[in-house]
Amino acid sequence: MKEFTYVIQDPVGLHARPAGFLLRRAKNYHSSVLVKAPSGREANAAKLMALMSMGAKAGDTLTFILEGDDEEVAAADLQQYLPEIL
Amino acid sequence: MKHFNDYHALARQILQLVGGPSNVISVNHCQTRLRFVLRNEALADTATLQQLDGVLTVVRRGGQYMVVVGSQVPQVYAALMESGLSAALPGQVSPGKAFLSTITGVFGPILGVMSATGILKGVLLLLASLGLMNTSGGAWRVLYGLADSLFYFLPVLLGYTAALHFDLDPFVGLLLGLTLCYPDLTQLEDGIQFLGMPIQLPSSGSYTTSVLPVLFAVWFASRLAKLLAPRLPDTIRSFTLPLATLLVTVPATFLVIGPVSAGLSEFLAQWLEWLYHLSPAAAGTAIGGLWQLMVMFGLHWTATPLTISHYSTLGYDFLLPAMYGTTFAQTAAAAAVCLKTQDKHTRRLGAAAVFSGLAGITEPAMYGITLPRRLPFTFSCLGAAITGGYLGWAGVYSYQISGQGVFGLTSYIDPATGSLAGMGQALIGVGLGMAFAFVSTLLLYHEPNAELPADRDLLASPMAGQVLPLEQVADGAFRAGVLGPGCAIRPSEGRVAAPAAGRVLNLSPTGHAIGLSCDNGAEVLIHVGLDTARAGHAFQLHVEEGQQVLPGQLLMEFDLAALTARGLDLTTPVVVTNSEAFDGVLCAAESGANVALSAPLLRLIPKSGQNCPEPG
Repeated sequence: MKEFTYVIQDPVGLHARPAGFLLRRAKNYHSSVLVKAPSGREANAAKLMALMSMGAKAGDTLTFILEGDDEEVAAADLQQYLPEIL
Repeated sequence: MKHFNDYHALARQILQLVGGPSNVISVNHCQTRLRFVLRNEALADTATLQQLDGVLTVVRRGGQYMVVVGSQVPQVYAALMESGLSAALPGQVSPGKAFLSTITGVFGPILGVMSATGILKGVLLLLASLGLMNTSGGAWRVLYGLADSLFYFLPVLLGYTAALHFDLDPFVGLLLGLTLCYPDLTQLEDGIQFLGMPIQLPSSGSYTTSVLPVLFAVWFASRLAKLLAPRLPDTIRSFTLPLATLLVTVPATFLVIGPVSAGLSEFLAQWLEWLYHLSPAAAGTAIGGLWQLMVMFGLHWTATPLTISHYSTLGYDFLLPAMYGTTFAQTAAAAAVCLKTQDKHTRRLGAAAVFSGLAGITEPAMYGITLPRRLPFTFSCLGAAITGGYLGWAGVYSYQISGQGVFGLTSYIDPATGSLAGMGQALIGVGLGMAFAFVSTLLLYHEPNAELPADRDLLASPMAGQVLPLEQVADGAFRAGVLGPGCAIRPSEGRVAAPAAGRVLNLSPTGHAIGLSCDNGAEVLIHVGLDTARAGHAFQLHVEEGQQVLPGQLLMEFDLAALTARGLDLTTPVVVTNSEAFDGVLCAAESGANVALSAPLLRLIPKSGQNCPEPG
């Protein structure tokens, strides 16, 4: 299991477009990607609606939990990618 | 067109859109087209099919529903066969099935006019039998000419429709039919020869009103034309191809098909005579049961000269009673189908076919209703066999040539005694046959469950406006399909309604994006505008997260004019975010055209063998 946090920079929060990009990126990994919002809601990054339903806003700290045989590489990739979209 | 690797997905989508396997009577393919013969073309979703990636267009012609897919048609066809369609089409290649598909294909386009003239003919015969019309008067002759011309020149009409069906130049088919009905060729004297070979016409003396000769001729010509076309020089092909095709086909028709049907007729006549003397009941059963088939093959004409010779030598005839139940049983079976079917097209045809059938004109009932369904046709033949058997057993004779159907009843009045007993027996026999055909069809025939592809697989448009493909959306994420397949709407009104029954999954804080979990399994994102996440609180929501919504329920409103004036692009992608739960998500509306609020927008293709994908 690999875990890291990310603070949302996008002023609109985790809305449709960044959620879509996150989902697409997460699909490249073998590992599962679980996202947790401060509100306590969590979502599988493979589910767009679930991601959007978290209602994560700008400034919220998201926790990403990766689990799978490529979790190290995937986590590193995602950490690098998130600032581009969120 | 894209290159398709996944022919199976495409095949499944096409199969769904033509109305599912139960709606397919047959399918084959040519260079670029899948050629379907469908039970009911109204069940095919032509609009969606034409939008389907991998389908160039749809052509409906000659009773065929042709899906043009281009040069990859063999692969798509193979995938279609593997998709289980071949299992749904038992004996796809059997001659019987091919024959049925041809009959449906060639009669389909003319059923309307055939019913019309059949009814007219019935009414005219009724008026004449009541003495209300003078059959030598001008009005009768003009109207009867109108009513009878379709049947008289049937080879001409069928030549045309069969040419469309067999992919022959339709005018060559038309010409074949015309030649068969050419006045001089309808009155050839006996023993005439074609370059030393005998021309044997059918026992009626000509090919007018016949069905099968022209079908065989057109089929033969279509094969011949395909063989000849590549061998003729391009520059002169436009006239050498029809010339060569017709020069071979027409003599072949007169020399081969004529003798075959004439020979069969003679044989049948002798056989029937022999059987009657052996057992009237058995002969009645056999003739009654086979009559409809004999009519289709044009072999029934043999009966007319026999009947006439019976009248003149015996004073009565036993062939007419034996076949008398045919039209009635056919009509009864067709009526039962019409009571059972949900198919509007068949129901509309039904009333006309039944009326026309009672008057003895059963072509609409047979070719339009019972024959394509096979089982009702079989029951009608059995019903006719019962009538024939009963009248044979009861020793009922007919005494004069008269009309068919109800107009034939008077021929059972014995002119010598004026006795109506024969007519009574005829009515009993007809009643028995009709009851059998009607009841057995009603009880044992089941109309294939050919309902419209379920509405639950349709997503209605959440907005009114112009439909755009996602590729034309000015946003990289939607354009690339990152959020899922779907299409976009350039709204003409600031109202958003639910595309299907379901639950509101999430609402963006600004209100511009609405996520729904629909009861049909689709998760739908309606994203109003492309840069509206920054538009502030311009969207008035009418629902809350978690709320159940009904199709068409108002979800949100906004001031379209005001937002447009602020320079915002309000193009609204409507996408299915869990498309992996489906075999496909297709645009059901024509791109570029306007779609009304709640008109069909997207069609979901359920995974095969799984009609209700689990949400989530």
